[in-house]
Amino acid sequence: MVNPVLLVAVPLAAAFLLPLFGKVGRAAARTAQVLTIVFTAAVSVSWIVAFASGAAPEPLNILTGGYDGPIGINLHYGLPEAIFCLLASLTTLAGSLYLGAREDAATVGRSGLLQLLIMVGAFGLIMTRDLFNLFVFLEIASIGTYALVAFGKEEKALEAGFKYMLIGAAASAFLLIGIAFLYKMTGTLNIDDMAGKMPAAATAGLATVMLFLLAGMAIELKLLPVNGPALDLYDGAEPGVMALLVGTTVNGVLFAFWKMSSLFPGSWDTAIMALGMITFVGSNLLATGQDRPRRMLGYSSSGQIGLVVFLIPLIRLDVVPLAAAGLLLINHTLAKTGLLWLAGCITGDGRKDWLGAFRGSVAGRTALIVFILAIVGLPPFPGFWGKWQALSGMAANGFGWWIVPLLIGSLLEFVYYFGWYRRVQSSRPDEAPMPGSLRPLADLAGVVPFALGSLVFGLWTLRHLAGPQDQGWLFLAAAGAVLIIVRRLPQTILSATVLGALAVAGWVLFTAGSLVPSTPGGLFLLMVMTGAVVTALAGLGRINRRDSYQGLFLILVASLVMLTRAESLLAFFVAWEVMTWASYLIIGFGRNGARASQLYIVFSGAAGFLLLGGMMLAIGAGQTTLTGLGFLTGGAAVWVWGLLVVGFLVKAAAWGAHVWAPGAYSESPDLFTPFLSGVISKIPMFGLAMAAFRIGAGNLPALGATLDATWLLAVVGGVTAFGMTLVGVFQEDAKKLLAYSSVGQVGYIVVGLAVLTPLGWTAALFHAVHHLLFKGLLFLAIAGVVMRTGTRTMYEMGGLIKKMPMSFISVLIGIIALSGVPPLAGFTGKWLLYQALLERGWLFILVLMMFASVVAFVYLFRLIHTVFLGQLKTVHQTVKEAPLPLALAQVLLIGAIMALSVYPQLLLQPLDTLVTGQFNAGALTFAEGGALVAGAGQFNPVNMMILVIVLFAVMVLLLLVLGPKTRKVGQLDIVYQGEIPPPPEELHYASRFAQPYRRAWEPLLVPRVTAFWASLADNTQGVVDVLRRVYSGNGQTYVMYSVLMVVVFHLLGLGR
Amino acid sequence: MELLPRIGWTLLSLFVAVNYGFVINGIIRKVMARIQGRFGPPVWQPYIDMGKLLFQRNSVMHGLMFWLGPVFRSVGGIGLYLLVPVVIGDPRLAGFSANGDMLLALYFMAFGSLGMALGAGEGGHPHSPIGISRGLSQMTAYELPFILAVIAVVTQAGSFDINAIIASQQSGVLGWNLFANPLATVAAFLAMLGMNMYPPFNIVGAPTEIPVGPATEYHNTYLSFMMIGRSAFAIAKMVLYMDLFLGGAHSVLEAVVKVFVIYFWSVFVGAVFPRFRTEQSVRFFLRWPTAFGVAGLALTFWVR
Repeated sequence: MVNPVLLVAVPLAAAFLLPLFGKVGRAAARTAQVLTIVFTAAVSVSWIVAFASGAAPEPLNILTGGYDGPIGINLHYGLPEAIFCLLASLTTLAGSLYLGAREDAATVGRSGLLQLLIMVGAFGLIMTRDLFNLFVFLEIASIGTYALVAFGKEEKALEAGFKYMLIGAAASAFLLIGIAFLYKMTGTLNIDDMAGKMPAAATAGLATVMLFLLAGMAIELKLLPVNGPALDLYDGAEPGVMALLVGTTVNGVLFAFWKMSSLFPGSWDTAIMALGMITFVGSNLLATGQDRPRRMLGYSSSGQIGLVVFLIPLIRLDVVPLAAAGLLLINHTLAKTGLLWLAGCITGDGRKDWLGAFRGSVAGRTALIVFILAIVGLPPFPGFWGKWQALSGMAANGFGWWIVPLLIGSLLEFVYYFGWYRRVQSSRPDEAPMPGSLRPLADLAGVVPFALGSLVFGLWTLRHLAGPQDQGWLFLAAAGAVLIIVRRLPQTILSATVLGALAVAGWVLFTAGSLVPSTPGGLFLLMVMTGAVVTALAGLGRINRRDSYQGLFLILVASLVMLTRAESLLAFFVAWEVMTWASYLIIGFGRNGARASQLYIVFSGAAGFLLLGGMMLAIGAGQTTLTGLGFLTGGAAVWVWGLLVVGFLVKAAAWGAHVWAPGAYSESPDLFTPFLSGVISKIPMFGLAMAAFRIGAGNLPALGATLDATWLLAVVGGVTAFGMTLVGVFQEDAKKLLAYSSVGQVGYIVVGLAVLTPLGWTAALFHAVHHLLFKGLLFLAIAGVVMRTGTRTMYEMGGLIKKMPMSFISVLIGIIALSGVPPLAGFTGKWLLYQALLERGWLFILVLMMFASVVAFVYLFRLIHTVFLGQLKTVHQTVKEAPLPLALAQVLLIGAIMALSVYPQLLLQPLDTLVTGQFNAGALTFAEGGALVAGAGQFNPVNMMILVIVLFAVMVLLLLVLGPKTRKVGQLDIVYQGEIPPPPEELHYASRFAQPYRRAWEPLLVPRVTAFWASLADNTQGVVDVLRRVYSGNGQTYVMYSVLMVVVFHLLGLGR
Repeated sequence: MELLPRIGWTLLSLFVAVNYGFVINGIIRKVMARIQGRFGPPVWQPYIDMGKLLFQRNSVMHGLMFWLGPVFRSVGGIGLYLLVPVVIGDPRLAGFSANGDMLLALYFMAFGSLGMALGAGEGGHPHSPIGISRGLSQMTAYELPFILAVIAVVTQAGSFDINAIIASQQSGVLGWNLFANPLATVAAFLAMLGMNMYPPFNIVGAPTEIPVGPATEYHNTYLSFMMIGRSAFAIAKMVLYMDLFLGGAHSVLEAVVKVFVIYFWSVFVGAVFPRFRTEQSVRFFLRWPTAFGVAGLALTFWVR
């Protein structure tokens, strides 16, 4: 084994020899540099293997020169050190390739020298246990930084470098003062030694010393508010240089602070945590106001560092495992360096420069989204595991309140990172050539391995932390990944593969006995697979051009399979978040999906964090599984219930949080919307049933005493159902109309679940399945229409029944099913729900639901009339029926709806088993002859169907017999009330249909909720704009801040 | 009762109902004419119309949905009649009402109108969708007080079953929901004004504006089918009102009288009012009738 001392010695020697190599030739210098870095990486790898395999059981403790401290310098090299040294080597390696391709002849060699120096600085910071030596390495790294930054010939870079040096000087001064006094107090410079010799009594003198130390480190760590120069550096310097620093100096300084933290007495913990948290939340808040991504990345770095600083005292207290911080840092290094490299590939950094970036580059776009998903902490990337471990540690050890700002800060990351990605997704107005192509070796060297690294490392962690999950989902996810890689293949092959993979997974699940509708998980799994197969079938051979849709779709299905089968909170949440980002990306594939998908992910993110908060509380109370939620009691039960319910409601787009839904539904790819509406909108309902109601109404004494919480939930569901239905009436866009309708229909399910009786659940679950069928059918039919006519605006269509009879029948069946008019199954669903509500005694909610279902008639008729009835537009004379696979998918759904209509027992009997399992009581009596009997009424669907069919047949026969022979006439040949007909013209009453109805409801239709969210965003922006003025860009002001910080800390009485 | 006799009795009952509908229609036209100072057509005018329509030779076809429109309309009307028990405890006059409860009747009410609307839509005449949009708007509005009233009486009976609702009113005349819950009854009867579409709520057909509304393109046999459907539908609705609010009927005669009284409430209102605009009509139903309905439903919390 190589002695880790050489990690410092060899690159240091090589650094100063590089200029000599430079004399020989550029290639020689580069080779020497790369070889040196590779050597360091190899050393770290060998040690990591040794530590992990147990070949080297103890961390190394090296005394340089054989002397004891303070003369000999003590290096410490264990697994954490080895990992971070390796990370530094890899970043430097990739960074040097990246920068090497960009430097000109004049600087050859010298730049390499500085890169090696920075790397050595980082190694030293990571390994040394000597306080003064640590300071020296800090200076080495800093000097390297100043010089490397100054290589950028832009004035901005020089100025930023100078400001950075100024504040660096202040930091050095503070640190030196602190170290000197500590040496005087303890007589040693070795940190471990020193920790044992710290004065026990907290004196004013000690407090001042520690204050200087903290202030110095705060500047080096770039915490708020002394991160101004660092931000200017991100803004001005070459992004490649900043990427190099993230993987080396930044990690090194954090590592150093982690070591120093043992010197701070326990009374400093809260202050350090607060400092870190303020930085995390504040930086992320300020980042939301940034137009320039490079500066935004700077804020983000500050935030991430703040988060780790926040965790350091908790690690010391054994609240949070060291691995949590490690995972967060590894994640940050991989993702941030990658993002900076990508930023360096774009010339300019303005609002416009990023529009449509990397459109031509598959690797660039993929890497960008991987890095963004990683850095905001979504699974399976390592950052997620870090956050999860940190949060669960905090929750379990009484640090629960800190979770709130942590989640808020994390949500802010969603806001600005996905806002950035939205810009990337948008197209350039001027159709100029898209910027951002990656130069093969130089750029791809870092970007692709780092993106892959995040992913692989994340998946590896997934296997270890979430535990092995069974059946199907892993296969589907793997198939999805493969499809993303081979996405250039012909679409027919890809779609067929999707269908095949689904069939295999379905078969596996079926043979394992998982696809049974008599358990909640099985029922929703059945819905997922049905929806997936129908969607895949419809998309056969006909979908988006050459993006990753097919692969992502499989990954999405995989996450849903995992979610329905999850037993632990962790597995549930991982699946939930994967579902969120996979659906987000697919929505973004829509033609104008950028803005809609951003809104979607921000609200979904908020929903996710609410759930996370609830789950953390549950974990704090000692429950880590879904079934465990049932054992919660008292205040914890109330809070967990509340957080979970609100989270699920946000994701279900309940009234108040519905603003994301219309856009996401209407802008998502047409053939994906059926899945979004049919399946994904049900997943929060699954959550309500499986997680929230596990807690049970009986266990909510505190809430129950003052207010029946389930009644409140039902009110929200009812208001959603009615409100969305009413707004849906006034839509001109067919998909928006159906979107509002979907959200409204989910409101029915919420009400049914909230009733919390066997009958209520039967109603809710029946409606969930049925909604999948009829709304999938409607969206598929409309997808066909949009495909053929090229428009979603309903009044631009009309009379299509003549051209697309199959689609008309689909819509007809769909709207009858939705409306609840007998004899189709919609009535059965409504009948069940109303029986349940009457039984529960919630009369006004019952009326509200019935009223909402009547209002729905208006939009249903509008949909079918304006698209299919009335007069055919001249431009649509040549329109053809929807393609065969689409029609086939619709036939399947129609068949299912008809089966449920005639014999709902098909579904109701398994559901009865299901609710009996949950409530120990059934809901319905299945009488002879197919009649359903509930507490307060009865209904015989079979007889009803026969009655209608017989009556219909009789009347049709009568009309045939009695009526005279008909003469077919054209659509323009209509009655003109005795007037002489003018030349015929198209008259289709479609635009602003039911306008008088709108006038009648006017006071209710003011978009208050939208206005609320818009004003929230505006006001936040206003606050951010004011706060940002702190960063005046003046170096002297920044130095003054650092001095003021010491004064303020002192006045706050820190440490005393 | 066996299926065949049931069908026989039902056909007879239906025949009587449709004819009663025709007669009432004739009477209405006469009454309206007298109020307006005209002599008016004879009482049997609907039969004359019917005969004329059935024997017209010319027939136009706009498409299958158009052709099916009157079928939907008549099935909706007849079907509803078959789902409502007419005379208490008489299975011969109960049709097929044992196959469902109040909810089934309520939702089946929309069957005919919606089917007919689809057919009219295919006709391609712009007056049809204008009339339909007005009709749908007004329907949603009057349904609110109606639903409130229905749920009130359902709550009082503790069941959605129509027979149970009738049974709950059998403690003499004062047991009728008209007296047991007058507020709900007021709401329901105000809602009925919209349902029956006499002025001021005749915005759907709206003479002189959109001459016949949805039915603009329909003629001859189509119209005769719609007349049959409408007659059955009107009688069925009135019977339903009778069952819900006036204690049902113990004999055919009682049913005939009660239906007549209920029906003429909307006719007399209609005789003295001009027409609302759509938004006025919608707002009307969302105000006072709804307020009565809410009060009526709230009342059940005490009555129970």
